[in-house]
Amino acid sequence: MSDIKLLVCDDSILARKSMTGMLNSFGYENVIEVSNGEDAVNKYKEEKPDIVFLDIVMPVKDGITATKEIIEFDPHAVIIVISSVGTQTHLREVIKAGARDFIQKPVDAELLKQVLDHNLPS
Amino acid sequence: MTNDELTLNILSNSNYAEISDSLTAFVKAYIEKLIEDVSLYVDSSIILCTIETVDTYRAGHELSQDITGVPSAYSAIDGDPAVLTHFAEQYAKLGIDSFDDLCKEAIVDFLNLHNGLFIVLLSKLNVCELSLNAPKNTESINLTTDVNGKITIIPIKFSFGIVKFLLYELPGSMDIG
Repeated sequence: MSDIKLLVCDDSILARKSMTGMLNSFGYENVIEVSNGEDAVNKYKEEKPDIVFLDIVMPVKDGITATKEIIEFDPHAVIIVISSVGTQTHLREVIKAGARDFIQKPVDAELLKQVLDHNLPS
Repeated sequence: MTNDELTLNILSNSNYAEISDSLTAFVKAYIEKLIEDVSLYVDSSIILCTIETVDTYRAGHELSQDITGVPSAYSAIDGDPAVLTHFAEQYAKLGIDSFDDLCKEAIVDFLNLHNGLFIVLLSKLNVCELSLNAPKNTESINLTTDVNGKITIIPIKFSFGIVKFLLYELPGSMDIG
């Protein structure tokens, strides 16, 4: 698992801490954290992580716009959106933007593990 | 006791029933979801104190989030910094012991979680599709309502003190049914 690189993008330091903690507990140590969509796009271009976890509601650039820009740069990017705003409209926008999956906050560790296993390159 | 029963119990031991005729369906739905979320994610031993509606309110520190769409609203959390510190620690469990940046982050994180779950509930019920702006964490603010607006103060009593949740529904109406 040491070669798997994960990018966590959330403006909430609590959410980032919690996500990184869960990912570390699954054995993934290479976790990069950023706090807005703009930084997520830039960091993706630099690091090409295996999976990106993106929040939707963030300052500077929201998660849906960031998803679109990352997919535009790399159509094979694996993006999982994690947010408290899983309304029907947001879910449609997330999928349309190119995200692979959506997890409703608060994040359930077991569900996160399932989604991660399902989306990691085999 | 189920979450629904707990929420109903907390609401029935307050002035919610008396005041509910004067509240919009949106505000009532917000209060009910707030009680459920506070019970679930912060503390189930809470008391809902007297709900009030006011025209103006001064918050010591702005920990807020806008709910956007139709209807739209301003939501915020206010209280004594020492009480808010306890609230943040009870929610985040990160060893928060002062009203610092991490504490304020935890408070707006709860607000964002609750507001998110609230708009998801309205979406699932096919009532309306709303969105959220990023939470704000800035200096003190004076809130003043428009002609037809009212700020609803929802004070919740914990073992460590009272936290005030504020909701200002911007003019507009909805029918939750």
